[in-house]
Amino acid sequence: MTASLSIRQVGKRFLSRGTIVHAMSDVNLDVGEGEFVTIVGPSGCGKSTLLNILAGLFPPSSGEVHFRGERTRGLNPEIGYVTQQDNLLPWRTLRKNVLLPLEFRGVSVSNGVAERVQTLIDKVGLSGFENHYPHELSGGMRQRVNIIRTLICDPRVILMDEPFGPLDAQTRLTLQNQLLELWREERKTIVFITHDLAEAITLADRVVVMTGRPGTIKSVTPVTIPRPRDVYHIHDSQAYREIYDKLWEELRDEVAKVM
Amino acid sequence: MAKTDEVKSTPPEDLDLLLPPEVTGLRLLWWRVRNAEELRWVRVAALRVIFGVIMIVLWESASGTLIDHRTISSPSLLVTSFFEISDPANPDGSLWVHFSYTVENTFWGYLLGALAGIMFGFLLAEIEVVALVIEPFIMAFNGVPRIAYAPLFIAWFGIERQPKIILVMTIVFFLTFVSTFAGIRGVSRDLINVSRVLGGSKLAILRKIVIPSASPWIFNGLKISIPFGMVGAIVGEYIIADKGLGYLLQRYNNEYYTTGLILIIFLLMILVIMVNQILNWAEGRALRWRPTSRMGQETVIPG
Repeated sequence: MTASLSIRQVGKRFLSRGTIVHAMSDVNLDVGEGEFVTIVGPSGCGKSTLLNILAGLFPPSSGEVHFRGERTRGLNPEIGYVTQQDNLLPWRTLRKNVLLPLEFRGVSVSNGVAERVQTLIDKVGLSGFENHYPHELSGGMRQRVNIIRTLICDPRVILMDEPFGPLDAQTRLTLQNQLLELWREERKTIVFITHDLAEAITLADRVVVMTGRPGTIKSVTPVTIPRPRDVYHIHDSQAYREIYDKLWEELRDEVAKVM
Repeated sequence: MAKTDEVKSTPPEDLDLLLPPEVTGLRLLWWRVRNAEELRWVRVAALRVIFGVIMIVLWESASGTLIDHRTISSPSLLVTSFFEISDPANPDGSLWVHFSYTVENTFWGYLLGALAGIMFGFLLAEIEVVALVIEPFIMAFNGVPRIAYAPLFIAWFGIERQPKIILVMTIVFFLTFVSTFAGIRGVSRDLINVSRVLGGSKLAILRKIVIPSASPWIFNGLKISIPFGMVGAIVGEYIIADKGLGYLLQRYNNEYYTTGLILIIFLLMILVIMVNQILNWAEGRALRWRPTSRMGQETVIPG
């Protein structure tokens, strides 16, 4: 597998109330093309900071990020970002929200584009709601719109920052399932942050555990459970439980330190 | 693919399901009128008319019996003096001459003040340093009751329209400026970052994200400015003028002509309500996406 994203010795410091905070230091990770990597860690370990750096919203204080062999500088149209809050525009309908990035990129809405938009909307089960405004949709629906809004530009890499965090348990499972299907069809590289260990294992090819502040990588665990996975029953398998116990063992120490 | 979530809106209940069993005939009709969702506005409007009529009747009957009619006037006196004052042959100038003078001054002051306020709001919200530097100065200038500036404006700009228009302008400018500034500052950072990641240029983000996000605040500033702006025009005329509703108020006050005073107050009320309705309509069209609320948005009436 060729590396899609490589993170080399990345660190981030920032000034907060007159003191320098080391959010992250010495993070090294290679994410393969088409790979699904999840990152777990105690809150405040710099997970979101790492994602912001990968997205190009701000540069690292030290180290480098390479995308397909080239050092990244600033925003990259090949890298999409799905945030925890859906960040939909309340004055636009579902369909118009999905079209926003195309308008930004000056893509005219031809038949082909309209078709692709509709296909994505259908795929995540939102047909019939195209002309609804965000306030008329549930949290789960809004988050699906957020995801397909990123997919519409066809980026190679998708960064996801606890996208299912605010959702209830059933909706979360449904969305995990849909995300896996989309990922299988579209073959994107995904870096996915979560605080839910079960979610991390269910989705990932590899699970990265980060330490508390300053955040650094504690371990990388491959998840060998065969795909396609059944998100509703994966928890019953022996392999799942072994990985869960191992990861929880590692995570527990880090969480305890922060508490 | 299974749909676990539902849309939040629910279909309207079938009214008959709630119908009490023993109701029949005329009482049934009455019950339906009282409970039908479609008749909600009709019911409210009817009650408003009834309330208004009761107030007028009470006023008319109290005037001249309980309280001297020179103190509180009366609805019938208002009607007769309305026709007297609005007569084009009125030697003091018809009511409509004064009315249009005030409305014109308010209009120009409002237009110029609002345009400048919105433009400055945008500019300063984008330029952090300037905003930080001039904030205390703006607050100081705005904190002083506007009437304190009126004599200065008169000394500088004369006793014609200009000082009145400028007084209105300063009031409207600050209200729209502050609300535009706050609106733009309030645009979610996350939303802007997401738009940047999605490929939005600075101009596109301004057009597609910032302006629509800030527009409820801007509209709010425009709406609260109406009555305040009118205060500026009236106060300006009250101090020195030979025309305008403020001038009439001041004259009638000297003459102890209560009917005239009350008449002008009513005229001002009608004017504010009309302009407010127009803005509400414009706002409703521009902000159609917002969840609808039952109550219309009313303007704040300054004290």
